[in-house]
Amino acid sequence: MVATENSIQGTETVFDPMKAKLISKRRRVSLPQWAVAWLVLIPALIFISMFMLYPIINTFLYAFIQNFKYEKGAGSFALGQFFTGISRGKVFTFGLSNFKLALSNETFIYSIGNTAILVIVEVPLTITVSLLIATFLNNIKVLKGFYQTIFFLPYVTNTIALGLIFNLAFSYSPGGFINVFLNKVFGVKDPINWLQSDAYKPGMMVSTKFTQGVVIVLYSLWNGIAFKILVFMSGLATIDSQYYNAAKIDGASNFTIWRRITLPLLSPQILYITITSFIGAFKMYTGVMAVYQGAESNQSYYFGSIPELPADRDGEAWIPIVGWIYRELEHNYDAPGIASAASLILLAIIMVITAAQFAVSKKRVHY
Amino acid sequence: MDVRIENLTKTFVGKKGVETTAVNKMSFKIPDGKLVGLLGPSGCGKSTTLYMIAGLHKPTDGHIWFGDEDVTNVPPENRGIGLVFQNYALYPHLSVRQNIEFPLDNVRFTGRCGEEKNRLIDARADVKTSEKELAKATRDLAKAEKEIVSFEAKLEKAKENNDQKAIEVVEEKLNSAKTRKKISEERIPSLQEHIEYAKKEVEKAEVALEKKLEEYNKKVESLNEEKTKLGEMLKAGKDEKEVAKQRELVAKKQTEIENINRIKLSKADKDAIALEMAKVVDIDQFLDRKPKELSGGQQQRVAIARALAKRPRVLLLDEPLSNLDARLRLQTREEIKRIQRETGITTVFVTHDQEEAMSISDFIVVMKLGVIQQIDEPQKVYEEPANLFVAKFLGSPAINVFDGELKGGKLLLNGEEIDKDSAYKGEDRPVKIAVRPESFVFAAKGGNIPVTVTTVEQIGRDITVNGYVKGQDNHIKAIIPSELRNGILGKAEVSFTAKRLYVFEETGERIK
Repeated sequence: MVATENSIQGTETVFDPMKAKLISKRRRVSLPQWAVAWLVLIPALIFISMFMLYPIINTFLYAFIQNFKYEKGAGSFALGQFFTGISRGKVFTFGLSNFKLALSNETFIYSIGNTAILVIVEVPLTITVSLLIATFLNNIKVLKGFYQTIFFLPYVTNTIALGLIFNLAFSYSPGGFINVFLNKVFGVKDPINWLQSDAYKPGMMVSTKFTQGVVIVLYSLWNGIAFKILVFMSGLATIDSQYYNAAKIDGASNFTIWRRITLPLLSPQILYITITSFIGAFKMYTGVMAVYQGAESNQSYYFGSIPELPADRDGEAWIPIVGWIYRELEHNYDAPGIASAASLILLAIIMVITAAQFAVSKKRVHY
Repeated sequence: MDVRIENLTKTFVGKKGVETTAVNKMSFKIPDGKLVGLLGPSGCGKSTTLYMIAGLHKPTDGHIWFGDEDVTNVPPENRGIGLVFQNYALYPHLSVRQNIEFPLDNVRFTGRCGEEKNRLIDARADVKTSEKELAKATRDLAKAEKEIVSFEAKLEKAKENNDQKAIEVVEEKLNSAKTRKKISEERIPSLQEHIEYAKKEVEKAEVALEKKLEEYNKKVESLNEEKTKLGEMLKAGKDEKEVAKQRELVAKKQTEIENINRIKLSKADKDAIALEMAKVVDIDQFLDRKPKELSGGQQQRVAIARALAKRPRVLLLDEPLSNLDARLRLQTREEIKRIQRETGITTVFVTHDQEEAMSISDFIVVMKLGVIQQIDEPQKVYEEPANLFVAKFLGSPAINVFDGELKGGKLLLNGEEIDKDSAYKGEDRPVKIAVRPESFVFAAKGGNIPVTVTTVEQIGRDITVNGYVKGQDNHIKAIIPSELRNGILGKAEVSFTAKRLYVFEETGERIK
C-alpha cells in the first residue's frame, strides 16, 4: 500500500495492487507535511517566545536605549513603551551609556569579583568531588544502592529549605552542630561565627567574608554534586570493561588505569559538566541568598555583612552579579536600563569563558 | 618459556548455588616456542583456560607454571604475558603508537636486585594466599559436614512423612553438600602440600636475593677500585693511551651499574620499540592514526603489536580471526604464523574453527566441556582421532558415522562384513563406524557399502555424492575425484568401499 502525504485527520487514498484500482476511503482534510510540522510546534513556540524570546528582546532594547524610564500606561513590553513614548513626544537615543554606568558602579564591580571568586573555588571543587564519588560508586559492590541513594538525596531537596538547614547548621548559637562537631571531633575550643554579623559577646570571633564564603561554597557543593555524579556514573558505565582488562595485562596500576583510561574516556561527560557548571555558577543567586536567609536584616535581598563594607552597603558581603541586578531593579524600578546592561555584560562574560573552554576541549576531549 | 598446566579446574557458582564446572582437571604442557591451538565447540572451557593462563580468572584448583615459576597466584600484570582480545580492546583515545607504547609506559625495570626482590615478595604472598585458602577450605569442609548431618536428619523425617517432593528437594541439597565436602577434602591435602612447597620457595628466594645483592656490591666495589686507579693514573701523569683505556673501563662499568639500576624506559627507547613492533606486524605506516581510522585487520595487527611490545614470555590470542571477514581470515592466519615464527614466542590461541586450528598450529588441544579430548599434531588429530567427538569435530565436510556391530571378531555394517583386513577383539557389541568423505572409494562392482544417491554436486576437482545407506539414519557425503564421474552421474544406486575407517565404541572411545 502506498502512503500518501501526511494527513492529520486521515485521508488515505489506498492503492491496492491486487485489485489495481484506486479504492478511496473517507475523504477528509489533508494537510501538507510542512503545515503539520508547524501546527505541532506552535504551542512550544508560543511558550518559548513568551518566556524566553520576549524577555531577551526586551533586555536588549532597554540596555541600548539611553535614559529610559517607564511610561505610565504603556505596559512592560519594550517595543510598546518605545512607540508609546515616541507618540508622546519623547526622543530616544541608542547608545552605550547604560553599560558605562553599570561598569562605573562600584558595587557591580564588587559583585563581579564575588562571583568570580565563588566560581573559581566552587566549580573545580564540585566537579572533582563528584568525579571521585562517581568512581567510588562504580567500584564498590556491597551496599551500592544504599550509597547511590545517599549521594542522590541532595538533588531532590528544595534549594531554599537546604539553605535553611545550612544556616542552622552553621549557626553560632549553641545548637549549631558544625561548631559542636568541630569541638568534639577536632577539639576546636571556641565556636566559629560563620554567618552572623553582629558581635553578641565581647571577644567573640566575628564572621568574616572568608567564613561566609566557606559556607556558601559548601552549600553549592552539596547542592551540585548529585546531578554531576549521575552524569559521571552513566559515563563510567559506558566504558567497556575490556579496556580495564587490557590495561591490567599491560601492567598498569589502578591509578594509572584511572588516569590514562577512565578519565580520557570520560572526557565528553567532563566537558559537558564543566561547561554547564561554569554557566550555572556565574548565574548563582539562590544559592547565596538561601544561605543567609533568616539572618538579622530586614533587607529583602540579604547577602551577608562584614565590617569592611561601608554602612550603606551593609548586606552585600557576597552579593553576586544576579543579586546586584535584582537589587538594581529594586532600587530603580522604573529605569531598567542599567540592570539590563549588566545582564548583557554577564552574558558576554559567560560566552567568553564558554568559548575558551570549547577551544581547550578540542585537544583534550576524545569522542 | 614452556607453559605447564596441572589439574587446572575452574568452577563458577551461579545465583542459586548452582555450580558450573567450566574446566575440569586439565593438565598439559606446551613446549617452548610452539604455537598451540585450543580447539573446541562453544562452552568447552577454552576461553576460560586462556584467561586463567592470563591471570584474569582465578583457578578454583590446579597450578600453572611458566618455566619453573609457579604463576598461579601471580596477578596478570606481573606474569609477563601478552593477550590479544577477541574485540582487540584498543584504547580508542590513543593513537596506534601510543597504544603500542602503553605497556612500555608501565614497564618498570627491576632495578638493583629487583627481580629477586619481586620473586621473594611473590613467594611470600603465595604462602599467605595458600594459607588463607587452606583456612577457607577447612571452613567449607566443616560447613559441608554440618549441612550433611542436618540434611540427613531432614531426609529421615521426610521419608517418615512420605513427602515425595520434600524427599527430592532434600536429596538434591544433600548431594550438593556431599559434592562440596568431597571437593574440600580433596583440596586440603593438596593445599597443605603446596604450602610446604611455597615455604621452601620463600627460602630459596631469600638465598637468591642475598646472593644477587652480594654480586651487585662486588660490582660497585670493583667500579670504585677502577675509579681510584684512574685518579691515581691521572695524578701520576701516566701515558695517554693507558689513561684512555682506563677511562673506557670505568665508563663501561658505570653504564653496567646504571643499566642494573634503571627503572624506566626513555621516550626514544619506547619509540624505537614501537616502530620495531609495528614493522613486525606490518603496520608502521599507520602509527599516528587512531584505532577507529583503521580496518578490522589492521586493528588486530595493532593489538598483536601491543601484546608483543613488552616481549612477553607467552602470547595469548582469544579467537583472533572470528571478527574478520573470510578473505582477511586466510591472510591473517598466515600473518600470525609468520609473526610467531619470527619472534619465537610460545603462543596459545583459542578457536572454534577447526580449519584455522589445523592450518597454523604446531599442536592442537581438542576440548569438550572442560575436558581435554586429545593433544597432538594437527595431522595426527585428524588421522588418528582418540574418540568419536574428535573425529566428528575435525574435518570438513564432517565425518560420516554409521551404526554397525562387532560379531565374532568381524566388523559388520548392515550385516555385511566391511573390513576384512583387521581382526577385532572383544565381545560382540554394537559399535559406531566412521568414514571420512574422502575415504570412500568408488567401486563399479563389489563395493560393500551401497548408497542410494540423493544429489550429486560437481565442484570442479571433486564430486560430492550426497546419499544415504540403507538401514542407517544419517545422510552421508562422499567425495570422489571427478575423473570417475561417468560411473556415478545419473545412477540412483552406487556402491563404495571404505579405504579407511574408524571404529568407536558406543560411548565414543576408539577401537584400534
